[in-house]
Amino acid sequence: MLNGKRMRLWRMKVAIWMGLGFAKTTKALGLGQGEQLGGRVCLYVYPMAIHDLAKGKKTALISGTNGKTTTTSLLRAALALPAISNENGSGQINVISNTGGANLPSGITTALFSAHAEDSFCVFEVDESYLGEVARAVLPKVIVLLNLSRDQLDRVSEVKMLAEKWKTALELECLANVHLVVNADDPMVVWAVGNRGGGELVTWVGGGATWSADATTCPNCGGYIRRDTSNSWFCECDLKQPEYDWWLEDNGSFCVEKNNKDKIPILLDLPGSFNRSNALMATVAATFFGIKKEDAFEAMRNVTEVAGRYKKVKFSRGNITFRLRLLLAKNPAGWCEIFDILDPSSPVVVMAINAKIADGQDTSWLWDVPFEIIGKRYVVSSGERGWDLGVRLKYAQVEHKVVTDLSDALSHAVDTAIQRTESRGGKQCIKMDYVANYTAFQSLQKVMSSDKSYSKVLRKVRPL
Amino acid sequence: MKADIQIVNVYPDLLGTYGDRGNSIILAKRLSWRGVKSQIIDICFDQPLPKDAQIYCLGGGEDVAQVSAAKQLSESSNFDYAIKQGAVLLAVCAGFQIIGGSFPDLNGSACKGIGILDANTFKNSSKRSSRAVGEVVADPSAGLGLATLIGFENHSGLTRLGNRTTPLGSVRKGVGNGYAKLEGAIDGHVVGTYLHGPVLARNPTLADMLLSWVVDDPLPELDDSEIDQLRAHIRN
Ligand SMILES: [Zn+2]
Repeated sequence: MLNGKRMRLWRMKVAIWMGLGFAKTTKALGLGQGEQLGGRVCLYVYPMAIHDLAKGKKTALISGTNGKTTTTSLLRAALALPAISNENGSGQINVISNTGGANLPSGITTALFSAHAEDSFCVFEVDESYLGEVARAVLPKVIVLLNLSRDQLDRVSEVKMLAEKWKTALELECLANVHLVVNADDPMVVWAVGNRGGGELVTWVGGGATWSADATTCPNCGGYIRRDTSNSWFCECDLKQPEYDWWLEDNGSFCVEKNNKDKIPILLDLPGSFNRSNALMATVAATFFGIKKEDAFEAMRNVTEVAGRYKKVKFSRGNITFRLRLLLAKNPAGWCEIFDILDPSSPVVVMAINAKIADGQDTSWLWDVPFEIIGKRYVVSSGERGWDLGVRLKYAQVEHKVVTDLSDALSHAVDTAIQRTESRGGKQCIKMDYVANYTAFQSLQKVMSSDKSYSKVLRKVRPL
Repeated sequence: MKADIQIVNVYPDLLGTYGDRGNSIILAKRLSWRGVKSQIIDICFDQPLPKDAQIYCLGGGEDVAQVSAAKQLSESSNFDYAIKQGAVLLAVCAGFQIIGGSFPDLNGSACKGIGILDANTFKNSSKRSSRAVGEVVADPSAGLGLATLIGFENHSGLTRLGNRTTPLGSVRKGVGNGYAKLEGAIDGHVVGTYLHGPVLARNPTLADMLLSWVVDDPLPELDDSEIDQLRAHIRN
């Protein structure tokens, strides 16, 4: 007879075996990565699988509307530092992570399939609505809470509901000893941390807030959130911005810690002040794993792209080399961040908008984004909802043309960029940004990776 | 010299979560392209509303914010005065519900509206589809001179119009008010609708109807061909 423990072990093995089988099959049949499906099958057969697989590992969970994939990649790079595995001087260590962005319990389970017994560190990004469920199962060492803003209003209905879910989860007895690394600039997140806020296990980080439209109503009392002269936020009730333990200075070039005023420079390959904020959050989390902050920042310099974002694609036409940078902007907050990093020298930018379920089917959010600040650049408006963006740009008085097909948009952009770049003779390089929302970005990656469609683009942009 | 036309965004900090702020941008641009000067004024929750503006815009918002906005607005004598003097009011979604007699709060209990419009909103009690989400196409009521109305709806309340109120249109696709296949309401210079998009981005004839109430001279035609393309694209 099998006793309880062996029964459990046996059931888990079957569950993993079935999960892996499904993952392989779906991949082989070309039905996508199979990441979510394999984990789903496994969890269906044995719901405790995620708990058992994560047992004994030191895990960090990262959640929030924006920046979780990037922060996960940055923290993963820091934890993979050779320095910590150097008892015998061996190289980098293997950090288990869902860097592909499969952030539901099923995706995390699949990532854990690949863990070897000796791997001890895990970094997972977690969908905002599953944070409690995943935290309860993996019992993490650290949870990083980035921000809560509007993502897809017609699907996940309200930001406040997510904050309430977080609050309930963070009050769980089994999570009482977890370190929380919290963005103190986001009222929703601070409110969700609630009564734990006064404890030693919470580290407040000045993680930045670029888009505050959702946070103007106080989650605590429904009142109105104001800012004082030093730009700290507060409400008439008790809710107010906590004092930072860590923050950025000089426009995000340096990191400062309350208990140690040394300024540590932040040099990243990833662009934008929001990525420096993500790096700060990741660094604070890394310190709980015994990594020094200087080493963490150094390791993060090697992160050059995140799940295809920020990737630079090169191609040429005659003497002109193009460097196309792929950028993802999922929601209004994400678009505001992107405006900050658009290449100032680039005469043309391509923007692609879809409105599938994963993007949110309502395109009204386009009017919450200040497209007016694009200024004198020429925009090629693309994607299934290129016309919606076109009308938005018309009213923003930004010069543009709607070309809904993604590859055609790129070749039109190349033509326009050549026309508008002063020829200086000899070799020239034109930088161009291609910004897309979620499913448009996925399609764009397909265009860029499939030989057939990529060569179609190249044939269009290269003289034959 | 004539004073600029003032377009007020009423409490954008509470009622601004669905891009409805765009309506005021659209009104201002369509004036400016016709050589009429205007000014957009954002009046936040803790500021007094002006009583002499020509156009007031109320947007959509989430439940808690909607209740706060209704309470604050009902206490504003300036707003009451402006509407009684014939100022234009465009009220969208949560804003549309607020300007009626009553609307449900998060728990479904009735809250007092500001009573500008003869209409009442009730909680949608049918379990099968408690929230109306999706594209709406509506035929405009006769005599308004509007083109087919299109927009995106996302609401849970259903609005029943009283006898004094004319619907803006009748629904061909989508839910709209949820009673008698009607969408929106119009009474004098007050217009309520469930359509986002924002509504004036997708319906330039509605924008021009509002503007015709504040500009004395006939409005010159604008080139709306790009908007026509968008409308054709959405309706297909
Ligand atoms: Zn408060």
